[in-house]
Amino acid sequence: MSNGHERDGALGAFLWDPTERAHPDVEAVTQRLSPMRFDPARRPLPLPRRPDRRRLALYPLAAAAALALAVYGYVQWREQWPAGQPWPVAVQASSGTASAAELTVGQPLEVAASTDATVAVARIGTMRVAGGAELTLQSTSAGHHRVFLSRGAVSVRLWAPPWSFVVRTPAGEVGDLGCQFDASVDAEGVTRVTVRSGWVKVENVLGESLVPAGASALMRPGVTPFVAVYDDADAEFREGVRAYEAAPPETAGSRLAGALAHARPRDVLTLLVLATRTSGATERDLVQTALRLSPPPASIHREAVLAGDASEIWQWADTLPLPPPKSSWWRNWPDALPAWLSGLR
Amino acid sequence: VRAAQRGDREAFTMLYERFARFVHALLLARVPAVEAADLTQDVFLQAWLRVRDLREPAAFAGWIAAVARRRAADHLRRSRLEVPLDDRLPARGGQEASADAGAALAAIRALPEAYRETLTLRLVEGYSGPEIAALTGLTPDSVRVNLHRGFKLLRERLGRSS
Repeated sequence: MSNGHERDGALGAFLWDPTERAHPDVEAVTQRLSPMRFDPARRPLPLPRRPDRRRLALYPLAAAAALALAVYGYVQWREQWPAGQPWPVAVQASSGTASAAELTVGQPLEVAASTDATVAVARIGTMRVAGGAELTLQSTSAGHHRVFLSRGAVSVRLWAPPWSFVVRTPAGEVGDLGCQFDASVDAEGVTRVTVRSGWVKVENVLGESLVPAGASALMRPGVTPFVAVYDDADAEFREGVRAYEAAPPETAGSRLAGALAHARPRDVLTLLVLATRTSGATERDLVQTALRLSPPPASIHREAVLAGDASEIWQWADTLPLPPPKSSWWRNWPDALPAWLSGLR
Repeated sequence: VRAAQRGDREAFTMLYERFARFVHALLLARVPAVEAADLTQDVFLQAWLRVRDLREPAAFAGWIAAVARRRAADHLRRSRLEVPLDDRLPARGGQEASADAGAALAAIRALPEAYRETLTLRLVEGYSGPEIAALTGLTPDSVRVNLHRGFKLLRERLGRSS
């Protein structure tokens, strides 16, 4: 090292420009550091192949297309079923023993009181048959599956186009509109239906009722199916409506008047459907209660509704917040998933 | 740079040959010398995959410097729990020369941060002041001051240690 007598100018000049007159101190340090110098020629760079971004961008699209194709194929496959092919049945006894069986067309399935059975509804869903029930598979083919429930209870979980699956009972038919529901038949043939997702239609030769998720309906042999009533409605309202429908016309009105006081905005669907089945003062009471609880949108004419115009009333009902209509049955797709995966609705 | 962005390997190799010493000097100011060479190549491999994202080709020097500084910071973070390496190089010049170079580099890295890069660029890789200003984006005056003050400080410390 120099002793510091050199001029700063010479040091600065050489530091700034290595072609200037060499400064011994800088030269000494540069020399010391020379083993550190990097020589790219001695270390060539092994360049890997660079991924093509345009091709990379296509991967998600290709994956999405493959997924869509797979889903479409699966949906098509699950709707197919050879005509008359038996349905697999798994029987579970309360003792814990399990056995397998088949439900063949025309052969009744009688489930012992201490057991229950899980029936595969072709490929479109499952049906749990409670102990004590009797069920017959009447026909089965792609998009058309019919069973007759003569007694007992079933829980059905399906994802399929409307009317693919129908439970016939002594009181009429319970038609799936892409959903999950429970149906039971008592000793008198009275059919009770509770819907857990989507819609169900109950119908017989005298009429029909559409039942949305969260509601129940009743059907007696030889009687028009009762209107759907939400299960979480006030008990006074539920019982009042049922009593009104079951009672002879001369006493029914008084039962209904008490029930209307317990109606909630959500019960407007029940009120409107009931209004289309009545006339006179009762119809007016029902419509006025509905108007008070949940005023219709501006597109609905109040005067027409009050005058009992059924088409206007139905238009109003269509504006209510309800599950996807039957034309959008596919929106209930969680019902196609295993129950544990779709949240056990 | 544009050719490299389009995937021209030869063009990128030219960039490597032109800027590798610059990147190496930046890394030497931060990481142990035995790792700086490998990290220099890492930085360029990373740059090869990302150079398409560089919007302004004229900014390549600043961009590759940022990649190098980030890579050094990552490396230091990861190696915090590992056994620290010293700056001796097993390579050219023998054990004694390597130890001597390591001591000089350690002295540079002990200087205030502002001086380190400028000094490794000048004293290790031999860049001139104007080249350092152009590569780092510092003003010529700042480079001049960093070189002068940094070197005087380094000389003092090396003098003390010898």
